[in-house]
Amino acid sequence: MSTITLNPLAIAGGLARHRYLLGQLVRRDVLLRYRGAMFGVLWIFLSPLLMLAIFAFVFGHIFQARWPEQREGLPFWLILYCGLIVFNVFGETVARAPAAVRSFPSYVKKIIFPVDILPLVPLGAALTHAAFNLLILAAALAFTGNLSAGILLFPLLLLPVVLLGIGASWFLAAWGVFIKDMSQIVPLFVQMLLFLSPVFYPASAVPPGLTFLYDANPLGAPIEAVRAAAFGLPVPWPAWSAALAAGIAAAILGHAFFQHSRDEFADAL
Amino acid sequence: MSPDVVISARGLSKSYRLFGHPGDRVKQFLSLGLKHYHREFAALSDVSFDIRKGETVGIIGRNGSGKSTLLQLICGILKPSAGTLQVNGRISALLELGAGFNPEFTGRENVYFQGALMGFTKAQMDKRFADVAAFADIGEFIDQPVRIYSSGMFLRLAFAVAINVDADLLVIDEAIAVGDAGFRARCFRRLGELGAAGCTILFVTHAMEQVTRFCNRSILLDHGRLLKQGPPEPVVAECLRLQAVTPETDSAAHPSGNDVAAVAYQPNGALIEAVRLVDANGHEVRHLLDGQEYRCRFRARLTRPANAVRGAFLIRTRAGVDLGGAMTTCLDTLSGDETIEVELGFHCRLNPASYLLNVALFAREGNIEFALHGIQNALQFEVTRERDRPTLGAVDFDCRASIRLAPARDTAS
Repeated sequence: MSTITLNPLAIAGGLARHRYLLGQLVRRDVLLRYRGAMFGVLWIFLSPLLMLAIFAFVFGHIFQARWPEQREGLPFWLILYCGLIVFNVFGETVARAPAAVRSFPSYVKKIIFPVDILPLVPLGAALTHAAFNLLILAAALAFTGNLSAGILLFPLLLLPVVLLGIGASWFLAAWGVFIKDMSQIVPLFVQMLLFLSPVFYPASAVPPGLTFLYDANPLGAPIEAVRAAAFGLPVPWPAWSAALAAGIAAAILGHAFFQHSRDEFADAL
Repeated sequence: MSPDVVISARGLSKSYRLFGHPGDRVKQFLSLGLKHYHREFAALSDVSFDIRKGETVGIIGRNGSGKSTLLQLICGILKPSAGTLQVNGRISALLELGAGFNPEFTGRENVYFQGALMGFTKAQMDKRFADVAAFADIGEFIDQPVRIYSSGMFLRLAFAVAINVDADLLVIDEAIAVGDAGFRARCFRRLGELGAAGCTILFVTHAMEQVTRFCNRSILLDHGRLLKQGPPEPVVAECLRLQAVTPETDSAAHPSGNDVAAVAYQPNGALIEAVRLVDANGHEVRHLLDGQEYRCRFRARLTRPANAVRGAFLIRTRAGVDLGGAMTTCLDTLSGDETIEVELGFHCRLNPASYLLNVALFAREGNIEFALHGIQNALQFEVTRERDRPTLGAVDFDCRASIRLAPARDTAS
């Protein structure tokens, strides 16, 4: 039976035990999306490339948008793309989280299955996509002559986002089992969050009276940090560390909530 | 708990909360248990038993008696509402055909995935794959997507995986029933080997002869309660008795749980009662094995004096074709307050199907023989066979059919 633990090491240990299974689930999830499509897994490259092309066209040529203090030779759409990669890890995960458990009733009811790894599957898929996006970003940076070693920090800097995603997923996946409306509400919320996060603009562009709102958004700091690292600027570590702490707290609480509700899953599905 | 006890249940209960509306669940949650928005439904109440290592246990009972709930509790899928349940060892479960299989992936990929579910890495599954493929015996389909499988192939693969993952406890819910007779026989042979090797096997079934033939023990559930447990034969007999006396069928019109209604004639001097079919040990049966001895008995109370009284039995197909039967010798000059016992011993030589039994009691007045009482379709029984073989018609003539290639002839002639 499920026991509720707040010990992060115990939670991580439990997940590590099922890492092979989790890997298989993520692999299936990613492959299933492209199975049967004519270009198959090639879409994993094609779709971000097409996205990037549209960004370049709309923001580069139509809007001619500029970042405040934009460095010469660094196109606006690359800065935008960089922030978007980070945000999408969270956005993609959270938008799919409410259905993460609900869409596998047979895993909950008919087989012996570590249900708590199900909400991590969308996250794994999102991270897979982020990895390909990162490759494209690195290629584009190299192509425009802006590549710096800071991009290697990307996985580390992403950690708070991953933890926030895990916590939110556990929470939303549990709620999603009982309340179907979550699948409608969450994508809307993600859209709003996208505009409230410093993706299309730097945090420094926020009016001083509203900065408290941005400090409350734990996604802001990692996005800023990743962008700084990618373009070879100093990383704002204190803000990033605060976001990391928030991420750890979110993951622990999310897991506790999930374990608390999971006994009812089989009855509700 | 003694070391060889694999499953120990004490006062095990499971009740479901039934919510009328999805929002009620939220209200319930928000009210912190102060208000109730649900009805309770007890699927299982106060069940206690111990199952030891290496036992094969058949769980039987009518539909809705809580059998599947019990298996789900044992697998840890459901949490008991009350009582304690201890399960020791690795469990391999086959609760629903194809659960955990993804139709888009091939049989091979699904086998590895099932392995991952049981905690096996790819390398560990590589070693077992040959055994799984051999038992499933589905040939090249193993590399086809599972969605094109027939349900038989699906079952073979699922079963092959379930028995090849070194489980201490194997839990099977009615799954084997879908397989053909040959595969069923292979399954039970394999289950026998696993049991001998110390694996505990738990299965739910409606096929009573599987329980009496393969289990050391049986547990009978009814309305969520444990009604009887112990050696299979008496438990199965009790279950058949329960199935016979269902509250929703009118016991006068359906005296024995038949799906074909019994037709009792107007009593004319006697009343037939207690029509029973028993095996060689005297246990009441409803499932007969081809080739075994059985006896059909009934009793009749006379209500007036009669002469040359004799009983009759007739076995018919469900389509109404008379297959065979017999009449007893006569009892002379009865005063009218006796009770008569009539018995027909017979050797069951029927092909697997469902059959009906007619009984009657006759008497004679002068030259005319007439019925004191009679019941058409008084009993319905099923015939099965240990090793199924293709047969035609109803009667088993102990046929031995063969086919071979004719010796090659000189085509020039």
